Amino acid sequence: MQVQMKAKAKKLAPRPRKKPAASKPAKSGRNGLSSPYGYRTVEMEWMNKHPEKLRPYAGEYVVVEGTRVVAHSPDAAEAIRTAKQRGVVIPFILFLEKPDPNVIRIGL
Amino acid sequence: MSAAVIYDHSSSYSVDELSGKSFPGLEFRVSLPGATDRVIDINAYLDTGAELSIFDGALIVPRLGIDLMAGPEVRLNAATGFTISARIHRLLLAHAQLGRFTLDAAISTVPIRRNLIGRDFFQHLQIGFREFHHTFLVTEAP
Repeated sequence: MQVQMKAKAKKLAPRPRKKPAASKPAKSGRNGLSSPYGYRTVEMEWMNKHPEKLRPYAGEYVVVEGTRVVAHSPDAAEAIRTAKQRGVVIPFILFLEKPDPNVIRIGL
Repeated sequence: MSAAVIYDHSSSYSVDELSGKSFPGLEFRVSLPGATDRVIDINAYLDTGAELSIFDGALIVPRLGIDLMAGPEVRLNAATGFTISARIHRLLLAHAQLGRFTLDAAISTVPIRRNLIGRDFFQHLQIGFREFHHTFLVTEAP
């Protein structure tokens, strides 16, 4: 099967389809709405550019807001509680796996 | 047979913060349908090997206030052969560009290290992987 990126495939008959959900750009603001391009673009770009800021928290859950880690803990619930106490409304939380060059990831 | 696809969105792979490895992933705002006052932002790997989307119960349960054990039980079986227990709950996933999706997703009863977006989600969106360029393309499923 050849996949081309230019021409649209011809449709033989119109198919009923659901109207796609409206995708509105995120508003600027605090607590998760910090970029017009996505909910967490600021956080993702900062994490990609500054992994050294995250290395101290390897093996823990971290809550990231803007360009800083606002909470961290081996326990996710505790990290979320701490973040809420510090004013975070919508926590962006992720687990930082300890890097191991002998580990290959295969999904779950 | 040939086919042509027009993709509406493209995205670079996410980068694992500590290992530096990149992977196809998306960030979502997760909530319960009808209860969007309690939300959490998570990132997840796109996994075509997962029949269902799977989320870490340690993240989801405390924040969304889910009665985890009230959902139907499923057993998640990995390629390595090990199995873990999870419970099915209906979740609302929102993405800033792609829209909102309701999934009957698996929530793990033990901590897992990665949230996975599975083939249940791929029923809504068609995805093309450009592994060599570490990008992927997304459009509405036909």
